[in-house]
Amino acid sequence: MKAKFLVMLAVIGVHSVPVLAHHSFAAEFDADSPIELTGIVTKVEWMNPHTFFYIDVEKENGEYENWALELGSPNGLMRRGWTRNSLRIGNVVSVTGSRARDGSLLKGNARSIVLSNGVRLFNGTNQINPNLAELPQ
Amino acid sequence: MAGPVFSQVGHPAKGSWSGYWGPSESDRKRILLLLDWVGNEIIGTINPGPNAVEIKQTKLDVSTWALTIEADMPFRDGTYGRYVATGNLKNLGSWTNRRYSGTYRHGDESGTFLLVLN
Repeated sequence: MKAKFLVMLAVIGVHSVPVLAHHSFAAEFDADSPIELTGIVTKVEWMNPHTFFYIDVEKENGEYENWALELGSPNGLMRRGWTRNSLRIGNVVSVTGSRARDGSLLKGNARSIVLSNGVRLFNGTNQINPNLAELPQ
Repeated sequence: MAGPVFSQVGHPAKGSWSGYWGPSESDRKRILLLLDWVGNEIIGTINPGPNAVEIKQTKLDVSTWALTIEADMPFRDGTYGRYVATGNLKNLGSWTNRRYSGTYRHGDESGTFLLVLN
């Protein structure tokens, strides 16, 4: 019996994998802490449960901060017209959204993104023709 | 049913790198470097976006992971000159602290650079 129990524990352990939490907006972000950022995209991570992109934002003193900004799931964005080329490294973007509740983090939820060519991308909703999102930047 | 999984992550130099370069700590500029491994060579762009500069030549010595990058970069007055950066890739096993650092020469200017994989 003890042996079976140990085997069962081993099987559970083998099949356990870390899970990146899928969370509600309010659990992690503060709608009363709006952010408006302009910067250059340095990284895009198409991963579940949330897509992330990172931008370099220049501060008044000339130093840079690298912000992590959350989007919807890759599948959700794709179904709404995003492609892997909608947001590319080097794009200059202006982002509006909400800051993380943990104010020590340079992290936020992006509600809308405006590219330098005027194309506007929405988190979860892309209101433009998806083909326009692939115009050269 | 259990087995180790090794992800296909590509060449150690591949990815976007952010950091600073300049002749001194008080005179340095932000740099974004986008590198890829295509056809057995490293290609890429310095500061991708509206001010992008295409990398003209790269040389990698895998015995020391020394990477040299050459490009025609603009000076402050708008003219262009050869930019040659020579450094080493370090912490290749790290996702959060992989670095590329070394020295550069751009016309008469020389200095150091330090980039971290984004």
